[in-house]
Amino acid sequence: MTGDTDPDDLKLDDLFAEAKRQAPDVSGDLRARILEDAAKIQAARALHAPYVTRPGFLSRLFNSVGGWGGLGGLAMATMAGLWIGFANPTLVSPELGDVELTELSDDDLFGDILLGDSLFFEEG
Amino acid sequence: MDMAFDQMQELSDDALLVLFANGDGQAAALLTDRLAPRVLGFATRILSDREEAEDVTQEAMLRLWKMANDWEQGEAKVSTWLFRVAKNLCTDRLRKRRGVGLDEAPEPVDETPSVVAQMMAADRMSALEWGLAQLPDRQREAVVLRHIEGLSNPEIADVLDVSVEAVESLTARGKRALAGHLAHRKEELGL
Repeated sequence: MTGDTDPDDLKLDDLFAEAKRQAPDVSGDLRARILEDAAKIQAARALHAPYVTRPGFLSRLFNSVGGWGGLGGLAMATMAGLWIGFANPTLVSPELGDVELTELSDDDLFGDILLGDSLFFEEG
Repeated sequence: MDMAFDQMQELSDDALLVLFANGDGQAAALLTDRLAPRVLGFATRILSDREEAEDVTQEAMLRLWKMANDWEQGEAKVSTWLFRVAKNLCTDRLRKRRGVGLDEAPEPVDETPSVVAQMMAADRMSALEWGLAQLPDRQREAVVLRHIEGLSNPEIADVLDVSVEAVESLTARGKRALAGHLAHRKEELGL
């Protein structure tokens, strides 16, 4: 007989519950095959994983100053410092104006720290 | 360092899959022990062939391992995803077995030799397997997923790629048809 029957007439739910309890055992062979596949996938991933190393000293230094932006600022500051060092002191010392170094007294010279270099150039 | 096995047993399938993707070998064993029996049970009932069902189970698990890296937690249940893969693999095998498209395939024949042979033992489970084998594929899948695997209707809809209403219809018709197939053995099977 293949016609439809009211399922409530039969204890189908009991049968389903029984089937649920009797889940098939996965054989040792099948389990081993599945885990072998898993291990292969993991091994392949490990092989192709990106190689990550600890950044070196120069790299860390580079990062600590703020990367390229920081390095650019540092270079600018260095150049500005050099310019200040080599430029005519009269440009940077309003106290001196256009006065010749030879006209200055010792107090004038040693009273301003900026004149240390100027004196050196005058002598050299 | 791997997590303690006892702690891992309390983790969700989602979390275990993430651990697997991070190279944890124990996660693979736990997921296999949790999920493979369910996939095997489903595939066995759909295909009525233990050997083919084992191949489907291995293939479905392999696909799970392959997609572990791309798994997005909370998107779907791992078990539902796996049942969908298994269902598609079963469908492919049924199509090959019949040699025609599933939609063009005739309704299942009344007797599947191996199942009929099992029925000779008058065993309740064998009778259930035989009755399920008589159902059209979609009804069989819906009934097995709902009443034996315990999936919710929305989960079944996801697995079968149909609406929830269609699932309700499939399970109701499938259960009624199954009852019809087993009705003449009501006394014998203690139903």
